[in-house]
Amino acid sequence: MSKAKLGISYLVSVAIMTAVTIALGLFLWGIIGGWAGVSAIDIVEETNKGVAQQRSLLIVEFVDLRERTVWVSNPGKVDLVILSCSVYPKGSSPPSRDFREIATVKASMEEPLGLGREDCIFPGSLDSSRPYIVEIYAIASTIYNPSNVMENIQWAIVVRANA
Amino acid sequence: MRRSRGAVSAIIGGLIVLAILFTTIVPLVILLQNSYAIFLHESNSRKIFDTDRASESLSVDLIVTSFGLGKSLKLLLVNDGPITINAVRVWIIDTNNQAVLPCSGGGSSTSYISLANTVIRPGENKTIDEVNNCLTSPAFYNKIIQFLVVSERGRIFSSERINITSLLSEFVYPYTLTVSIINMKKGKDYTVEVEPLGEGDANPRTFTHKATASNENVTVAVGVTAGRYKVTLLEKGVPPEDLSGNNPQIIIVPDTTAVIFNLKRVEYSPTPLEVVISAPKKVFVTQGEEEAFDVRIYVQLPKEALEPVEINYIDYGSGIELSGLPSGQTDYVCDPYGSFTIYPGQREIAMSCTISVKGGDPGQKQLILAVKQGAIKGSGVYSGLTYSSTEDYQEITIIVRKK
Repeated sequence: MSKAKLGISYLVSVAIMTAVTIALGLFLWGIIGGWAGVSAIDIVEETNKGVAQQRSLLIVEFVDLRERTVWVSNPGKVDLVILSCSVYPKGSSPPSRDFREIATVKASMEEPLGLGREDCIFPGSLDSSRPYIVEIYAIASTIYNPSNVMENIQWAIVVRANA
Repeated sequence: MRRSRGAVSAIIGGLIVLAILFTTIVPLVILLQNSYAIFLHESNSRKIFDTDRASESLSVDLIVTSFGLGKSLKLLLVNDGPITINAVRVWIIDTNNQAVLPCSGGGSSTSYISLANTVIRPGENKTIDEVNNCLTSPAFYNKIIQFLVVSERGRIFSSERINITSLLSEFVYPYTLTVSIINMKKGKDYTVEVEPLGEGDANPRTFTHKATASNENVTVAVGVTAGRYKVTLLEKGVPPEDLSGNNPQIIIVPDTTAVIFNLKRVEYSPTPLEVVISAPKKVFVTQGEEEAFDVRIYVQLPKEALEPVEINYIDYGSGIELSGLPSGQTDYVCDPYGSFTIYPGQREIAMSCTISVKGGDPGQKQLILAVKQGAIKGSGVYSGLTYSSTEDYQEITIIVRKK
């Protein structure tokens, strides 16, 4: 009788320990799996952003002070979204920037894009004999997030050129 | 018994740990490595691209080429770098205004010249002929320009700054229209307006001059193309009242390339040019010997004359006559003083003569030096009328002494 009782309690205790172990193991697996999944997504996103940044290239071909037009082109491998554009006198501090989706520059050198006075911030009066700086923030269209301005600024490329 | 109970849990726990390791951690590490490799590859590609970009070198020059009697402007691109360059675009810049000069050749206007298949290998050069159509536009006249050539890799190569006016004058404005304003009033502003009537073009189209002296004259040169023009003279913004001739004047270039606005209604009439002979009154000559002396002949424009006169004709041969002495005893040589302009009241030397006299019989004789009428002539600077000299003579006493 006592042997049989002993046998039952042994099986029960093994089952309970096994169940607890499996439960804890699955819980741990879930936690680690979730963490790994989130990390994997982060890694992919960060890599994509880094790669997109490496592929981004914007050049200012010419700044027409008379027509108030900044001509830009994109010799890089990815389309770029212009976030801000400002022209200001060399030696003075830049004007406050307004980050918004201004225009998209295709990744092609076939034709340049003209950013006019409604796209760029120009000083009130322009003296063609004075040097000016043109400053442009642009981000690869593949990582552009219209709802997250700060992230766009973080991953944007900044182009400063003499006008 | 207790050990066997724990062994089952340990085995299961170990299996779960292994499962976690192989299903999450290992793929995560592989993903991380893969991502890093992709980023590194992209980063290397960018470095290679940037190195290629930095290695590009292109010289840009504007050249004039001749073909037969014609000429054309071309942009010469020389790849003096180690890698092939694909030029995609040319900008023409007005450097003074920091503005784009649009190319309007071929009936359309673009801000830049697009280049197709302009691949320049190292050491190779290529010419861009399209610039000729752009540059011969009047918009480029009086400009200092610069060419910017954009490569496919995004490099921008610039030329020197070029004052295009001298190059373009023979391309854009092949004719020169001169507009003269005569007899301006001191202190007044005069404006000449040249307005094309049709397809012609002129540069400059307006010119303003303030007269700083009475009866001042000014002539303006205007570059024009063939065509019909209206040329207007304004005095303080309105057409002047005292003006001989039409205002405005309608002309057709190249049939007419000079316009004269003559103010104050001056009616020019030629006044006679006065001749003044400067010669010694007495000359002593030894019998049987020869004596030479100098005579100067001046021309004077009377101060009543209304315009300067350009002396352009001096008859120093048959215009001079010597008389009073037997033939063979006198001779002369005269040198004219060429073409010159005299103003009202001014006297200028017209010619210088050397007269030689042979001493004949002793005694006193009269040698007459005469300058014939019309020996000196000129034309009015404004009117173009012919001014002619009057006759004049001078008696010279020749005293022949015994040897």
